[in-house]
Order: sequence, then structure tokens, then C-alpha cells
Amino acid sequence: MIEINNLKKSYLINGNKTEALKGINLKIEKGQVFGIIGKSGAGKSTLLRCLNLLERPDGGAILVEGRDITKFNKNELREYRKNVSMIFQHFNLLSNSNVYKNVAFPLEIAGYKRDYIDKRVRELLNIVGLEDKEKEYPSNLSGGQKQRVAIARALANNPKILLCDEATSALDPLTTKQILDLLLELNKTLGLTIVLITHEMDVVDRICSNVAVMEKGEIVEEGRKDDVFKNPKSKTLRQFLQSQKGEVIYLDFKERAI
Amino acid sequence: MREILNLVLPSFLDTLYMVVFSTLFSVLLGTPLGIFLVLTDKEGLLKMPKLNSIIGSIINITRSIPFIILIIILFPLSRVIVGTTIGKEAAVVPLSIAAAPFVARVVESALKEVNKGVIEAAVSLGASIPQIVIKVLIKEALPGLILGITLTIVNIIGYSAMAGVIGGGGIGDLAVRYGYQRFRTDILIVTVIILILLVEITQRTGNYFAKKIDRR
Repeated sequence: MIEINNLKKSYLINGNKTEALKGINLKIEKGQVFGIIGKSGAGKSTLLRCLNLLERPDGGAILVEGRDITKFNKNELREYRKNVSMIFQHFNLLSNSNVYKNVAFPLEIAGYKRDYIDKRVRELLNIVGLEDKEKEYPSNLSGGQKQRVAIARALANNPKILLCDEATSALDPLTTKQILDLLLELNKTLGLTIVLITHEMDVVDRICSNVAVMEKGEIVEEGRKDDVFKNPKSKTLRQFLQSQKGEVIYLDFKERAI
Repeated sequence: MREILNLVLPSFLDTLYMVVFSTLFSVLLGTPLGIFLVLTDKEGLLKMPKLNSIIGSIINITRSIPFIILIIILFPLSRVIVGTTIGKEAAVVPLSIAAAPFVARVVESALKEVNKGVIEAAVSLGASIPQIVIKVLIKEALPGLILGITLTIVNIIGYSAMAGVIGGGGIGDLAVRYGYQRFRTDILIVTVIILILLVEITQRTGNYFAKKIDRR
């Protein structure tokens, strides 16, 4: 469904060129829950944001259902973005709009009629379990409820792919579990392909079918989660798995200095 | 008492006329400029830094000209637009043009307060730039915009008193002609009280609405 070929991206930071993505190759199949893990600064966020072109890659191709999205013109890109939604760590809801209006937003910009929007918003609020909150403003909602609104908003135009940018990192463990259960349910019932980035191993463990591990702008290992976790090759994954088991991680001096 | 009322009421209505129309036109001129400044910023959605700095400079130059001089410079323009350089209608021209760059800056700073993540979310949902401006930027920044426009009105009330002196009429003109030149201290006091009340009412109304619609 998604095929990433030799994707490159670098930034100029204080005049120094920093390579965030050093030629990424990756295949994500339809219906997968694909987790990309790595430490901060490994490039996972840049990679995810390239998938809806919030970041423009410098080189390489991203084929989604056979079409290279980096070659899209403005209108094609806007249409594509309606099929590929994103949820965020800090939810990014419209703070001066209530829950109903937030969920209606993508439908309004897509130009749907009021009747359809009304019906669809209620459907979506039902899916995420917030039927009784439509008049509330985001500031009156808990973190988990805000992310549910964001998920409802993301689902409004029936996307095929959902991108999750550290979607549970700002939530407590119980709420994280509930949101992950919801995502998994959407994956099963709607056939939604999910690509998520996280540094929380529990998230990957709970819902991912496949996983890729990133280190310094490169993918160092990748495959079915069970296979990869059984036989971790990269340093990052070994450390993550250790810390998940509650073992003390011994870092060498250089890493501690960072 | 009756004499004071007869003098003050028409002047007050002239001031109101100048303030209302100058606010209207300056907001109509300044808001698009402010939006344009935000969009063309180097971190904005359109990223046109050169054009941004040119427009920014023009705004700064206009804002740095003392108002009383701006009126004199704009006399010919008043004549072209309203056919005269005297009276409340003529004063609206320089008042609007003087306040427009102020409105542009006020709009710019209010819109820049909008959370970048929310704008990004709108982009990721396939929103176009006009849709983002109307449904995200303006809607999210509305409380700040209302406070900014309130500030503009208060400024225009002050400016209108100055415009009055060079033939615009209104409360300021009355204060100078009667209060100062004819030593009518009672008229001077009444005009000052009216201006204080006008500013006070404007500010309180603005604060009330800004607070009422703020859901953050």
C-alpha cells in the first residue's frame, strides 16, 4: 500500500547540514498496524510527516497505491490528504470550537451538505464513545477524550491510512490502553492501515503487527513484530526491550553524555 | 446647560461618525494586510519573505509618520475621494489610512498566537489556505482580534480629536475652539468627560466580548 524508496531529508541547523533521513526503504501493506520506533532524533517523526508531506523529502519516492505522492500537484495533494489522516501527541483540536464543530471540520472543508455532516458527526462520535459530549469545548475534556475527538475528526472522510504521531505519549497508562484498543478496533472493523511512531514499547507490543526500528536516520531492522522482538539485532531495540522488562540499562559513557 | 448640550451633541455625533467609519475602513484595509503578513512570513503557509519584508517596511513607515503630518499629506487624497478637505467625511480618509497599518499589526500578532499544531492538523486534513484563514486562524484568534480592534477604536477616538482641529469637526475641535480659544472651561471639562466615557465604554465592551467567546 505504501512503498518508500530511498527517501532522503536533511535540515540546516545553524548552518550545519543534519541528515534526518538517510535513504529510507520501507513497505507497509494494507491493514497492517505498522510501528516505527526509535530514540528522540532518530528521524521517525520526519519519516511519518513525509507520508502526508507535512515535510517535503529532498529525494526519493513515496508510492501510495502505486502513485508517487511527492509528484502530486496542489489539488491532488489536498485530495490525497483527505484519504490519509493524522493524529497528534497534543491532539491539535480547535480550541474555540466545540466537539461537534471539531469533528465536522474535515467534512465542511470537503464541501459536504449540512444533513450529511450532521449524520456523519453523530456516527463518528458514536464510534469513539463521545455521543454525550458534542457541545463541550476541548478545554473541558480529559486528554483521552481529546484524543477521541481527534480520532473522530481523522476518520471523518473515511481515510484508508491513519498516521499516529506519538498519539498516546501525553496520556496516562490506562487512557493509553483505551485509545490503543480503539485504534486496534478501527484497524479490524474498518480495515484501516495504521502507521504509528512511538518511543513507548508497550504501544508497539499491544497493537503493532509490524515494526521498524530507526537509528540516526536509518532503518536498522524491520519485520513482523513477533520475529523482530524475539531476535532483536539493533542496540536501540535491545535497550528498549530491556527497559520494558524493567531491567537496568547500562549505557556507555558516550551515550550518557548525550 | 441647554447651550452646552446644543454645542456638544452635534460635535459628539460628528466624533461618533468619524470613529465608526474610520474603524470600519481601517479594519477592511488592515485585516487582509495582517493576514497577508502572517501567510507570507518565513514560517507561514505561503513563505514569501521578500514580499513580507517590503509590506512590513511600508507599514512601519506609515506608522512612524506623526498623525498630524499624515493628515496634511493626505489632504489631496481626501479631496479626490470625498471632494473636500474639511468636515467629518474628509477626516475619515486620513483616519482610516493612519489606522490601517495599526490594524494590520494587531491582526498579525493575534493570528500568530494561534497554535501551530492546530494549523498543521488543518493542513493534514486537506484544508486549503482560504479555509485555514477563515475556519482556523480567524476563528481561533477571535478573542485576540476583538481586543485588537478595541485598541484600534480607542486609538481612533484619540486621533479623531486631532483630526478635528484641522477641520474635521467633532469633540476635539469643540474643545479647542470653545474650551481653549474662548476660555470656556465648562465646555472643556464636558468634552474631556465625554472622551473618557467613550474610551471606557469601548474598552469594557471589547473586554466583555473577548472574554465571552474565549473557550481556551
